[in-house]
Amino acid sequence: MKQHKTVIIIIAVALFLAGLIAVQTWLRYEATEGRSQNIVLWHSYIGKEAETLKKVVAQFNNNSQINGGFQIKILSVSFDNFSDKLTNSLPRGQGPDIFIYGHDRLEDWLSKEVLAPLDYWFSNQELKDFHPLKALKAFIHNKRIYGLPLTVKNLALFYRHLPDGSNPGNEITELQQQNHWNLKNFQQLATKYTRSCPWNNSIKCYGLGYSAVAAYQHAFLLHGFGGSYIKKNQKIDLVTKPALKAVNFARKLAGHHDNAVVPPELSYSLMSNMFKKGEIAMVISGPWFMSQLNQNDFQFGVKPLPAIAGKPARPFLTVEGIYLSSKAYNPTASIKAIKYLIDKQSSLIRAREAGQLPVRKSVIALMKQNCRDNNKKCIYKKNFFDVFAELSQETVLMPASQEARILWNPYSKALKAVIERGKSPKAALEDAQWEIKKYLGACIRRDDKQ
Amino acid sequence: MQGSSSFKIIIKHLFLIIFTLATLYPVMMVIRKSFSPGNTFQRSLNPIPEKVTLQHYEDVITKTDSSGRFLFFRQLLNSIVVALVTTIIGLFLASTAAYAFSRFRFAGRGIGLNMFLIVQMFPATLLMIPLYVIMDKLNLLNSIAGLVLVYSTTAIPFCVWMLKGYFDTIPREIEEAAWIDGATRFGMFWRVVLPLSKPALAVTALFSFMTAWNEYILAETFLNEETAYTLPVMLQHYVGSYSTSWGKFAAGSVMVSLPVMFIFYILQKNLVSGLTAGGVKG
Amino acid sequence: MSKNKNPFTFLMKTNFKSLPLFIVCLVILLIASLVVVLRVQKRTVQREIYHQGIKQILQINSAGTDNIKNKSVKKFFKLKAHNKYNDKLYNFEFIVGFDRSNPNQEFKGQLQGKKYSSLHDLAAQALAEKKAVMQLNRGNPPHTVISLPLEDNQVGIVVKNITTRTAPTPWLGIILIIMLAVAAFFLTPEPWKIIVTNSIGALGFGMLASGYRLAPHGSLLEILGNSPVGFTRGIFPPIWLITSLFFIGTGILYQRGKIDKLITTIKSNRIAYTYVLPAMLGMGLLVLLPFAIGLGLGFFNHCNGEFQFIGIDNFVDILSGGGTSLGNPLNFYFTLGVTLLWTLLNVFLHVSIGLSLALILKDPLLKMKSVYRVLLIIPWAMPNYITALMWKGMFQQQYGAINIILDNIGIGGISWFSTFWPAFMANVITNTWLGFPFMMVVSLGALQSIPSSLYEAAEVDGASKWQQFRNITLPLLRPALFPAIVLGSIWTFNMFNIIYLVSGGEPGGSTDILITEAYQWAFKRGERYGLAAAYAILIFVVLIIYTRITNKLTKAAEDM
Repeated sequence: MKQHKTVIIIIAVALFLAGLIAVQTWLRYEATEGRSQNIVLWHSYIGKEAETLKKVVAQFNNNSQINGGFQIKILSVSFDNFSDKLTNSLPRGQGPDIFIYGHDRLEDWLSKEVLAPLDYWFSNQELKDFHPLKALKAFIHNKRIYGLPLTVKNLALFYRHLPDGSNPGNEITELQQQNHWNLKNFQQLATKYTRSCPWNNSIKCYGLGYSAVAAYQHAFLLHGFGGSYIKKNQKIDLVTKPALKAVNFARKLAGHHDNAVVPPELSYSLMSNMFKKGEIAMVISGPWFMSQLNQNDFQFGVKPLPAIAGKPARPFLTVEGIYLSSKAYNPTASIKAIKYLIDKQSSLIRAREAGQLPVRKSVIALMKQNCRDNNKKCIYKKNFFDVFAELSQETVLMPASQEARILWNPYSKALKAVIERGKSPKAALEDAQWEIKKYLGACIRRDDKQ
Repeated sequence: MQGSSSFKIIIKHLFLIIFTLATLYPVMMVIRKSFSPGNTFQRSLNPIPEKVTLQHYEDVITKTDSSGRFLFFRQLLNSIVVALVTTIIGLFLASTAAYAFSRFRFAGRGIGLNMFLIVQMFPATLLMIPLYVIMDKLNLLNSIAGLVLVYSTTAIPFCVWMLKGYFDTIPREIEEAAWIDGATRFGMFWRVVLPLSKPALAVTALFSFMTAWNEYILAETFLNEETAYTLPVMLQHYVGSYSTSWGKFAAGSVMVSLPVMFIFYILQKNLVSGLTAGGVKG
Repeated sequence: MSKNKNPFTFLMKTNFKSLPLFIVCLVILLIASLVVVLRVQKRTVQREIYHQGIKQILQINSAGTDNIKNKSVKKFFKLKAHNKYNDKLYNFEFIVGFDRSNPNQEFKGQLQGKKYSSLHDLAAQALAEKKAVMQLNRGNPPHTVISLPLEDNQVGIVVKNITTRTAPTPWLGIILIIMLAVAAFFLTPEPWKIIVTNSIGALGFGMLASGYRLAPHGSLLEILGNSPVGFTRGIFPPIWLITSLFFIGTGILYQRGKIDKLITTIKSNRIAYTYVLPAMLGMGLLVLLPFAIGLGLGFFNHCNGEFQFIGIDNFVDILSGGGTSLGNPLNFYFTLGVTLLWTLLNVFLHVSIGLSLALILKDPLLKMKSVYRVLLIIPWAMPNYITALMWKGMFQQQYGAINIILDNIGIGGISWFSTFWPAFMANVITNTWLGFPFMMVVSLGALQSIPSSLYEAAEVDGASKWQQFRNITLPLLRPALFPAIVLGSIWTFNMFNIIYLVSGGEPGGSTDILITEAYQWAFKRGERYGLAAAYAILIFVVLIIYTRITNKLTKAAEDM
């Protein structure tokens, strides 16, 4: 009897499992059906940008006039894993047909032969429609284009009306009008708003929020003082006077001392959290920050970063591009998908829903038009795209060379050492310089031998 | 040993209650987060949410891909299939190998056993790239079967050691009796040894299951479709360097952890005897 | 060994016992030779077509398309580049176009439409890189496209059928080697047969492959094959090295009679091997093979997708400290120290907490034991990446529960990740939370196996609780606890997720342990896979030494 019972149990379990596997296999089959009619798109967006992309793609998929029978299939890959996964899988025919990512990996990907050139498919008119000239330039290598800009991202200063009724925006406007919107006044303003919160004395409020320890955010200071991360000849010289000045100033703003105007150990999510509650008055962030804010909750605005040494601040510009894979299954259909994604309709949706700054003159003109007519559709002004568009002119294109790719981590480490642990800027930057040389070691060794 | 006085018992209870609460406190905070609206942090120590919402759970469960397929259920099914099949294959591979190591003296036995111990010492994270190439050559990339194969082999070394230790504690006389009754080698293994080692098999199963259920790095590297992802990969995608959806992450975490906890609960009696009776003895 | 002085009598007395092994080796030799030969041939073809194509472009460019004699030329184009997008890009225009299959077709004006995209790509690439570019097209028939930049922003492109003569397969050389090996097989006395034949095979194979490179055109050596590229590059040296080592290895083993023994034991333990085989196959393919590759990578240098053999440079670099002082987190010994401290502290905490809980839970009068046990196992059941992120949240400076508690009791919040010790302790606390349940369960099981009569006897003798613990509990726990500790420390030593997700190495990489350091080198610092693999090998060596020592200790403890 007992024997029978065991047998029955085993058979039941086996059947159950077989059923599960069958359902799973069927579902997978259903999901991957018609692969030859699919264009696979990889991206690393999360949150609103991912939702919006999904929406835009759904429109493409549902419109048989645009898609010509092809369907875009999206895969979201985590940001940290994106490049490794891409360079691993693409040469083996496992990768996407098109993908979305920043321009900063371009050279690396070119050397690994994962990109296909696009210039043949786009006319002069189409190319000249891209607005900040730098945006398209970011993808040009050896007189070929290896990607097209979807949007650009650069930093600006967000301010908000605080719960106690004060508004740093007014003061900034005043300073701007007097032509006194510079680093010194900026620091003073931030210091003024660094106090125990007027509405709750047990909490400390801060004047400014920004990731002082990130090389990307630090760039506007470095450039402002006249330095740069990478020289034109791709040489790296970190220990320079401007660099030291910039690091020193960052420490003044964000170091672990009583006069700091930036909260210690500020992570991005903490920063948006505190800004929403009014515990931070001003924030240096990019257009993506807007998609997390809501004018109905509190009034906020965007201003340019303060001038440094008499010149407008120049933060980094990153261009988010769409790329065609060198192993694309059907390049013509993929080009169609790319054209759709950079096109007017999708740009408008992406701008409205995800706060992605438009990069085509025609789109910007249309949006401006909408705002002039006092249309409800006006999002150009309302979302401060006008401010960002203007600011994007005064930016430095983030370098995309192999050296640059290696540079960010050690530099951020140096910033952290100075800001959080009070290391001397010179020593920290020297360490970073040494470290970068070591990281590049593998390739330098080869060059020397040749 | 004689029992303690009731005073001591009360002290012990008190200590255990406090310790358990302290241990579970972080978990309760995750549960709180999963039920609280929004993504903001509160400066609060209270593990009970002030406002309860199921929004995060709903968001996680109803997430769809661009063609409107519900991803959560598909990914859940993928996870279940991967974990269960891994467990079964892992059990099969580990128990047969462990039986041979325990009952036979053959050339290469020592080397084999040592190898099973040694490979655990090589950091798995760094085997990813060679593994990727091999999976590609075997045409197993982007397939659940490939993932199952990798998981069941990575779980083997530990399971073999544990099962071998347990088999060693089963007296050979029992098998010899079965031998006299006319049982075959396989019959002895299947009818005599396996039923006697239920606790150790349970632990082995648990380990294989956990390996497959919790892994996300290889899964994300090998799989190329959202409908093929397993749950931990999905969970990872709520955590980004810019905006992290803490609420959804917490809700997802609770749902991913529950099945494992349930299995632990079922197997907990076996856990104690399975791990120690011969257990991790070398 | 034979006492016979006349060498030719071996011929009559040849023992065919080793024939199967000999044949196996021969087949391997043949396969290896063919792999090398085919690879070299493929390269030869490509290179010859390339040179031919360039020559033809120049020829047609000067002579015109009217009389293209060579039938291998399918199409020929001459394009002129114009600038588009403010001089930054090219736009091409046909100057000359010729298509053998459709001689009347006219090619004029701009390149437009889907079908000319690859033409554009090749022309632009050649012009931008200022060198000839070749693309293989696996169509039917297979053809090659070669483009060459000409004067005045023009590009010549030729589409060719692949008709080039391939380098001949050196059958003569291969047959020669095989004959030599066969002769040696008959002429050498047992047990030396295999080692001699295999050495000849390995040597011949090496000569064959290098003959491919060394032989100048027209020289006598050319019968061994000829090729402009060759042996010292790419995959050939490893193939040769591995086959040679394998051949000579089997030869030596055979000579010592090990192979015979192996065969007899395999025969006698057939059942055992069938039981082990499935696991071994899986392990061999998916664990040992990557493992071997990982070991091998430690001797290579990686730059932009290319690997270069550099011997033990990686190890020298790591073990010498790579120019860092001992206090620098990049220094190997610093990381090793942190790793050891991390492991020791964790294991100590796991065991002491786990054991204490087990001792408390053991009390027979204690009710609701299973409830506590179930609840206390939860940390073990949580996926550890969730645990890590959860605790990272707890240590958050502003909103983390721990700092709020510290604030409330008046100590004040700590900035957990900006100095070494708090960051290190944050990792340790997280990992302790995660790890004590395992030790608790093991201790519970071990305590159950201690007969209570021992304690009763001790009680009668008037031993105190502490004495009972020292003299009964601890010694009897040891056999169960010791292996668990060894295993636990191996796990902790390689506990990647906690370090990576909780402190992430902060501050300044100082809390990185060896495994996260290796990961950083592989994926975050310029893809130094070789260096990362060398780190992994060192981790491996440290752990082996550790287990050796603990094994000795257990043995010693058991002997006591």
